[in-house]
Amino acid sequence: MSEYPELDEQVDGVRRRSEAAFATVYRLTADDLLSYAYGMLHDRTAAEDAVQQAFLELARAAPTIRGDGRTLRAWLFRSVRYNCLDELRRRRRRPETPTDPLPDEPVDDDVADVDLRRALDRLTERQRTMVLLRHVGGLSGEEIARVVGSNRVAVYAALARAERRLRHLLEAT
Amino acid sequence: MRRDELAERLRRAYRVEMDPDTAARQLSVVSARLGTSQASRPGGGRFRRRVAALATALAVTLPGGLALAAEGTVPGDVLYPVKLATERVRSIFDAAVTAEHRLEEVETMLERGVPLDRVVGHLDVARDAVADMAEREELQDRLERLAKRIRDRMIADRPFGDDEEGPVNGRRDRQVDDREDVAPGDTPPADDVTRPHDRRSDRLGDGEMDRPGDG
Repeated sequence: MSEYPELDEQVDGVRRRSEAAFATVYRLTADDLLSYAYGMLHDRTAAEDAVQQAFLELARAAPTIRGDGRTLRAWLFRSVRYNCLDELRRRRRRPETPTDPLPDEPVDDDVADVDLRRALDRLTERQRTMVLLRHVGGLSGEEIARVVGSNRVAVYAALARAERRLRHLLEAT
Repeated sequence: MRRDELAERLRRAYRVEMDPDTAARQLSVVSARLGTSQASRPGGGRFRRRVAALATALAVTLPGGLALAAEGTVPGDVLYPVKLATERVRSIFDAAVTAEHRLEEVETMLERGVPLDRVVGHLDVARDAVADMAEREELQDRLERLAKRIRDRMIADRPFGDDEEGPVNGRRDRQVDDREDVAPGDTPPADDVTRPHDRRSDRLGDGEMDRPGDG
């Protein structure tokens, strides 16, 4: 059993493509996945898309999933990460035409902490991912290692460097 | 700034929750995918493989009548496995045939009035097929037109409370307004229903986990 017993119970159901299992996994993970994607993309709608796409990919890959609930959770974060990277790459290729929002319309990029957003944007993608997975997604070092394809010791070292840089950037603003 | 202060600041800025409407919509799309995915039908795998193998043999050995009869089928039709089998053979010579078939099937399903959740699920299958043919822009255009048709149909089918809108014209106005709210500007209309599946050639697999997206 992993530290996610509720997820552990759903892994078999996911492999069998049970709708109930998918719904439970979604309920248990969607907020964490969405928060991470939101941190990566600064856009709520795009973050929701990244999460949805991850679950569609899970639906396709379900029979091949191995391991326990922790593995499943890492799989989903990994998928969301890839979806975010795809979205960021797409934005670089086709920069959106800026449009002026209506006065009362909430801005989609509604990250109130602009300094934090700018500082995060100056980290490398990998650093940003680690910081967000740790502090927004709530992942352990071991889980982050699974998501980014590294080992726990390397993750802790990289995470410490990333946090140091982020603090430095924030203090400089 | 201390580490815990940084963590708190990050959480305050980015910690969000999926709203219930979005969650319900996403789960319905995932359910549709689970329902339309061939591998999702419990107990049917061996039978389907046999049907497909038989169909492949027939498609190769028999005259084209059967294959022709299967041409306009959609998932759930008796002859659909025949179509998939002949498609595998045809795709050796024409790589776009799979994407074209999936798009045609979505069109046929729309015309037959198949429930929209199934159509949306199959649209996603079509997206995958079209994504494999990224160089064929006309397929992408066709996909987007279909996505828009589905979105329009979903908006048109959306129920309204009798106390909110009286006359038929009022309902029509409301529908148009909703559409404008949901799909402003140049945003592809169905992108909040499903989104294109992109190639992930740069994704690396490692360790004990399977690579997401490789199903």
